[in-house]
Amino acid sequence: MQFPTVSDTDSTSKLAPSFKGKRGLRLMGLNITTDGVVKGFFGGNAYLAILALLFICVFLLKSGLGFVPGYRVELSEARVSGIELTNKVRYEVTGYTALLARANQAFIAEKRQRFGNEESAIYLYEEFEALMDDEFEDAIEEYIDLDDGPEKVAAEKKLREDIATACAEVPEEQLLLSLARRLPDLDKISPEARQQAVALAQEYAVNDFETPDAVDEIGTRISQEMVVFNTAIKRIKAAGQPLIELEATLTKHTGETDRILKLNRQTAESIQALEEGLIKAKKRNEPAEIITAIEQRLEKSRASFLELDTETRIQPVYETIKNHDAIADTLLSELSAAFDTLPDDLESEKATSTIAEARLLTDEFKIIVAKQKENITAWRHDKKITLLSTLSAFFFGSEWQTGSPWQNTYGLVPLLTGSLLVAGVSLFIAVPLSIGAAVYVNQFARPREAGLIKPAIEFIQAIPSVVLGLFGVLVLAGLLKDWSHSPLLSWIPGFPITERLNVLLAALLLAFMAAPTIFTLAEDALNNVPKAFTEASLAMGATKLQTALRVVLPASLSGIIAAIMLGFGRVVGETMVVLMVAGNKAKIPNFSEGLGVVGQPVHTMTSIIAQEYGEVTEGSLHWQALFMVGLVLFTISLIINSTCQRVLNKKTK
Amino acid sequence: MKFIQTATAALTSITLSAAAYADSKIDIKGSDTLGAKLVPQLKNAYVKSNPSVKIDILAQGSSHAFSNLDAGTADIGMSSRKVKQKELDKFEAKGKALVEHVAAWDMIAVIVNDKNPVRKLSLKQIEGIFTGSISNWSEVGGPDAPISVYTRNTSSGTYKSFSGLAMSKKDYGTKCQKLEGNQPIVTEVTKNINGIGYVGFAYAKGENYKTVKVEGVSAKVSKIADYPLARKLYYYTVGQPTGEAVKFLKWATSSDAANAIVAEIGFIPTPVATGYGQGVEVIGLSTNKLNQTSGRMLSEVF
Repeated sequence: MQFPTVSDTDSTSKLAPSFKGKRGLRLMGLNITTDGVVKGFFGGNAYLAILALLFICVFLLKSGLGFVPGYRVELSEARVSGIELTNKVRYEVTGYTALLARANQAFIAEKRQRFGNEESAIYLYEEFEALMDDEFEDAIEEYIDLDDGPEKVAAEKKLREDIATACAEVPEEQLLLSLARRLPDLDKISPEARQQAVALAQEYAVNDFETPDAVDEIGTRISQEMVVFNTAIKRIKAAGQPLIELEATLTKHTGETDRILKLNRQTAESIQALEEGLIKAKKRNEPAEIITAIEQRLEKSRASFLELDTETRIQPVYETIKNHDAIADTLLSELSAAFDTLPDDLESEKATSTIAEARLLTDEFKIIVAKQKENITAWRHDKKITLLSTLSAFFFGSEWQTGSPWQNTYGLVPLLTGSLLVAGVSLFIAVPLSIGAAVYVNQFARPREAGLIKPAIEFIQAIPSVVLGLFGVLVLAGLLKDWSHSPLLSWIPGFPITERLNVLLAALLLAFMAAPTIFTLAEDALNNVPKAFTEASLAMGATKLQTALRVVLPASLSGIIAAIMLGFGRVVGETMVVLMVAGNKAKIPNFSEGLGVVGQPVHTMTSIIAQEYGEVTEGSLHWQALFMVGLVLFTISLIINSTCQRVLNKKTK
Repeated sequence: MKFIQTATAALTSITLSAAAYADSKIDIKGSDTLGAKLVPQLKNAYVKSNPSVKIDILAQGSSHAFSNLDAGTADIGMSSRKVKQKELDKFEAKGKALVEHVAAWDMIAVIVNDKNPVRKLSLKQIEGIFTGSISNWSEVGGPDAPISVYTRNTSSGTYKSFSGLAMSKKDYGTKCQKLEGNQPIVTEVTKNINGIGYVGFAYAKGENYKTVKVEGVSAKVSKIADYPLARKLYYYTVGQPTGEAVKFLKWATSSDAANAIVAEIGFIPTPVATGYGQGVEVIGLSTNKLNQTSGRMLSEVF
């Protein structure tokens, strides 16, 4: 056998004929040759990609853009009905509830510190009640079914005795364990409390599983002992009532208006669907009874439009809201007064710090009220919702609330910040690792070493993301949470973490996924630096390290930047892992915690689509909103890719 | 060669078997609450005694029940919620009626970590926790620790049922973490000592977590009449079902064998739960029931 050699001058002319134009098949005036077909096939494939891209763009735009007019209608309805105004008051109520909750927590902490011993009876009773449910259910029911008489009296006596014995048998350590999480200072269970709890459990049993009132009375009695604190808390609670009532009145009225508006819109949709169906049915020559059935239904729908004059319906809202400023002012002054009456000498440190937090929240609440007062005065139900405000409601909206019985809001910001935060943190981890690895493999590693490291890193890419996600949920999440409580690691931002699923966990896993992409591309970029650069630098007497860091790395910078950006694109677009481990909390992360923000759960653009697409009705506003999110995601990827290409092109120039 | 022979043989047998069963095939599509475990097991039992019937199940979510019924690609739809007006429109526009059959009852259990000493919650407290106004366990008699709230995601029927049953239809708080299904909620609650979540009755019992009493009532089959978080699950058909579908539905909703399976999976068989009839209710064109409420179903849907 002979192999053609490079020096063989004939080889080109020998190989060439098969690709030379032979006289091909003539078909409909076209000369079809093998070459032509092959060329056409390849060319067709290349253009198919562009066609597919165009198709996706058109599809996304078509499905997503319908969202804007649809959302505008919903926002207009929210304004006309006054729901928008109610939301402003709701916002205040939320602020108030937060500070009230804090004050309550302080009260509970103080109560537990001072009256833990008395309170332990309640908690002991709860343990015994569970015991009754689990082990005495049959016995109790048997007793309840007995007819009144001496037999029942005897049974009651026996039941009480059995319960007392069973309760006495519960080991003290077990009870202490349950109490310790609530009353950390309690080291011994008092016999009186235990006795009291057993008596209560007996009452529970003989009264057909009714929790005895005496249980609540213990709590009430303790509260009365802490008279000053209790009065202050009651005052804070009472201060908020007018505002809460105002919100409830508004909710009821505006919610009803909005419901009617929505129903009428639905009826209009029904009528449209029925009309279209009727035309189709007639075209198909369906049997007469079906056509009459549709016609009847159509008539009913037409008749079921509900009378609604938004102008008259909004008047009571304006009447009600007039009281708002007065209510808010009284609330604020009452709050200040109530906080002044709080006792200074609290025994519990926890209570003291919680009260301080409550005071801070009160200051924040004052700012909220001042702002909402202005907003409420300026609010008009007949101001038109513009296209621009619809778009800004989507792009700058701070809430993503779907499937809501009150109002669906589609705000991008929580999702966008979530996506960017996760991507940013993961790049922060992945970039140094993968660039470092690339420099090492390219500049310092021995060939055999490089032959081991490169495939190993590239192999990571082959791990399916759902497997990584499972690993994250089942293994890494727990480990990370445990480690975060170690004092050695407390310097890491966000540590110790309270939520198992959080930004850091998602970022770690994503960094693992992005690293091979960045590594491979960066390594290629380093490889593309002409050998002459390195040789010249070494010849000048620079060390290997100096050459790598001062010559090769800067020369390949544009390629490395492109690698990082593509890594970013990979991370932003990843769905499965973030869906499983990022915690899916659709709220703008609380950046006031500084870097600690990485310990919070977030929701991302990709996971919201994956999570909510499943059951949305096709063509509904929610469906379109998801496409809008997809469109934003697509645009981000497009920008990243085109910038990458520009960066790379600059380098080649 | 041998491979080709085997492949041909396999293909032929598949084609043959498909042809043999083609005339008695039931397509069941919709909710994953029903379609993940219950319906496949019902199918297995049913096919065992009726080997000539072929049943295909696809569980992608309640909405798919209606789109497939409408397109004629499903004989029976499974749904963990009632049909929406917008979905009903599509059927009415074609002059078709949608028939509702109660498949089983479910109780939504509220679960907490078993190291959490809280054993009972009132509806008001549950509402506070899930709407976000209660954020610390100490406010409901527990330890001084923040509450981590886990819920199903918005596309789940359970998400809406729970909001209707336990939260007076209020919005979930923004602090909620939305998870993909019952099992992820169980996983998080077992691993997070401060976690709380809700799951279907089938998941109510397990290791390292416990079900709390709601309004003093435990989530037990015997307490279904008093338990505040009980709901119905449905099968839907277009018109009164015919052929194999009617036999299967009748068997699945009323036979003792099927009820035993329903109970074993962790749902509550309709006869046990209510004791009223076969649970068939016709909505849409062929009844006046809906029209009395001026054709609105929305307020009933949660």
